[in-house]
Amino acid sequence: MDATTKILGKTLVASPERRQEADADLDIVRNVQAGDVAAFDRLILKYRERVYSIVYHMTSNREDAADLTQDAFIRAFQSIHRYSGQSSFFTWLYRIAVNATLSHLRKNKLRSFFSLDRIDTDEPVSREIVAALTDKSGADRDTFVHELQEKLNDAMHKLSIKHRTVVSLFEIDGLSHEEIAEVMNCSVGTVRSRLHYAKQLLQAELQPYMRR
Amino acid sequence: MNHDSKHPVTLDDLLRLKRAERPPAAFWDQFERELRAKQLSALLPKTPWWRRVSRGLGGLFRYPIPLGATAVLALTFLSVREYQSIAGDHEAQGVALASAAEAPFGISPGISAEGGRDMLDSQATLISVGAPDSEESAGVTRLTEGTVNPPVVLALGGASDGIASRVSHSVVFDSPSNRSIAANLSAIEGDDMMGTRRLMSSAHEFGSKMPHLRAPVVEPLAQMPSPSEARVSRLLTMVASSNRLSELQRDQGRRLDRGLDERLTDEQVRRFGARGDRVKFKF
Repeated sequence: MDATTKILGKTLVASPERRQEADADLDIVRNVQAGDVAAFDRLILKYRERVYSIVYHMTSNREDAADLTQDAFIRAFQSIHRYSGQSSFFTWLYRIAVNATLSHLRKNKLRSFFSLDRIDTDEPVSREIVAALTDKSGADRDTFVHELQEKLNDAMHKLSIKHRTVVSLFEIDGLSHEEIAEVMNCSVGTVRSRLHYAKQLLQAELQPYMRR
Repeated sequence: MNHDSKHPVTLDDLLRLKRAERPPAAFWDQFERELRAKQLSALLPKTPWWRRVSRGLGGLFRYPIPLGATAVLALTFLSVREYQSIAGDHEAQGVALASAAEAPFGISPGISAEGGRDMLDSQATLISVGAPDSEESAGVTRLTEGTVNPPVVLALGGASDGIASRVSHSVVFDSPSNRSIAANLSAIEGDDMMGTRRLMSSAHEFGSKMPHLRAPVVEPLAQMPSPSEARVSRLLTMVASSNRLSELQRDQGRRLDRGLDERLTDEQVRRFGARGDRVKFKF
């Protein structure tokens, strides 16, 4: 059993793509640990959008998300020598970012300043959803999308930090229950429970925007 | 909302819409730059907090040496100037200062200025400072240079009226405050109001700068014993001398009692070859 199989056995995610990804990450990490500092840039380029996405959906603030993502990469770089390969680099990096974000949100609980990124309506999936929700076009459509975005953001922020994190990791970033459990250092059952509760709340909040 | 559309919209669809929130392309350029800057700053070794504190305090104490040197210079300048002004005042007033081998501090009652001068002639060297005319007008002589133990003696005399002449003592001083007292007395005697004020102010300044010496300056006449005390001391001296005589007689009687008469003593001295200045031993 090679190192990658061990890692993925621990993370309970053993899809061929994940395995290849973890294998490649481990090679890069070994190079960084051996002194090839420039190799870490490849990891940054590979994961920066995903890490930024999870942090952004947790904070709903673009500037904070950028800062926290940078800090997460810096911390990962500083403690790369402590990475022993017990979990995949991706999970390890996510854990660093999520813990930093949770700490930031706890510190700034009273401060709620949102700065949202624009929804990319050129993407086929989002265009289809927007078209299903409204028959407006042009400026009216943009206004409707902006209003919907704010409503989604409000609904997300009515959840607790932990529930919001679970929803972000599962629904938006596409992590499995097991990966979320590993990142959040809790059981899979807890993840499912939190996800179920969060979805119920969101459904109640966003009812006007849904149709059967 | 387009509720007539056949496409159902679920919560997952709405959350997928949220997934489509993306920063502009320019955002990643800035992100890259900031990350590089943070990486570089993270590579720098962190200075410990105590070093930062000491550096901050070092900024506060940036000028200790120049300040200290300036303070020392200012103190030196002020001290020299003050000393010169006091010395100048004393010279102008013709204060007589002399050294004596008598008691270091005190007043010898019953001795006039002339008498005091005669007495000092045997033990002190007389040095006249300034012209003789000024000495005559001030009626004060300055005497310095002691013999073995040089306390300074201030002799006041000359004019028959005034406090100084009434005191008519040779006052033995050994401290700056006492010199100041003498200067004040001579100023009062000369009826020089301006000089008196100046002397009083200088004496006050001096006293304020040397608070431990202020007490004798306040009441100089109180230090002089009254004539009755002088008589008492003379009587006591006589009593002491009579006591000494009786003690000698008592010693002689004791020697006789022990059988050591003078003849025997002379024989013993001759046997040892002892004289006034040497002793010989013969074996």
